[in-house]
Amino acid sequence: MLTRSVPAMLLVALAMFAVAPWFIAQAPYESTMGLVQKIFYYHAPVGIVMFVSTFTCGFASLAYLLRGKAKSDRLAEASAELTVVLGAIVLLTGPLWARKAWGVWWQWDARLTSTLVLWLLFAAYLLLRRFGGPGTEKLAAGVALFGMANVPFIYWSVNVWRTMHPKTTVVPSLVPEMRFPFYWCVVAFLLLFVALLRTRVRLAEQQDALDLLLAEAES
Amino acid sequence: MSFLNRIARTLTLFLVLMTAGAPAVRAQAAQTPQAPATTAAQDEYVPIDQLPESEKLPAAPFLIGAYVVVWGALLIYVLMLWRRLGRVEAELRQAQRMAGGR
Repeated sequence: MLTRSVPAMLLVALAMFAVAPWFIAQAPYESTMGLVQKIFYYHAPVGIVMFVSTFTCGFASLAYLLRGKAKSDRLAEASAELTVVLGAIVLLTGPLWARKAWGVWWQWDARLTSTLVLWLLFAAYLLLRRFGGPGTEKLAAGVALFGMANVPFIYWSVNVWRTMHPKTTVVPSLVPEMRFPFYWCVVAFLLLFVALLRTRVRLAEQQDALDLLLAEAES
Repeated sequence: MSFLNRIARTLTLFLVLMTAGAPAVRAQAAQTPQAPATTAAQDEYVPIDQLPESEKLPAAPFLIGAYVVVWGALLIYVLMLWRRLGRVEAELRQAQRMAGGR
């Protein structure tokens, strides 16, 4: 059974998502992009939560490498899976926005390419865990550390290299009518992330308990 | 007088050359291709509903597409996660019953 906090968090997140479109519709249109800029209110919060998930996986992997506790490994695996899901959303919604705003689906600039590399690293992590066999937990933890090290590079890339992607100054400079729906969605996606992470960790715990029981029955 | 004659000859030559060269310049101007029609609404304003279909790129399908991607991906993941959790918990309960029965 899941703890009571997970359904509560899910309910609050769903309620927030239910009213989010109204707040987003009330936000003013951006002067050059118009309607399509409204993708920002989902695209950027999912990107932020993806970074949170990446750091969760990275620090849990570091803890696993240092202390070797199964709890850390389960948290790392759960957050890696969520990083792949959230990364896929970011990498699919971004081109939909870019096609209208920039006229192209994709640009091989530093921000987009490094985000794709991050997603590939965590997809590699999951493949290692799925098909690597026993003992690949530590190797996968190393991959997660590389993935986490990529995050500051992704964040600062728009300020350092030439790109069409909006810079990091956009969010702090949002007008209040745009800022409110943005942070509303950030909080909603964070709640959803925590609820899904706890559920995924629960799945890993149950799987480990089942594997242990089956191993005891065989011996 | 010779100095005045030289000035007069120079001016005459200049005028002859100008007269002779003008048609050539006009012809060259006529042959120069016109700059392509601008698309920046400098010559005329075209209402958006009069644009050819091939040039229209409305934002709504991209916006709706992005929102469908977000909710579709999350819904699929949540369903898969719930299904996996339900299966593992059922297997665990069964294994616990079998272990308790022995």
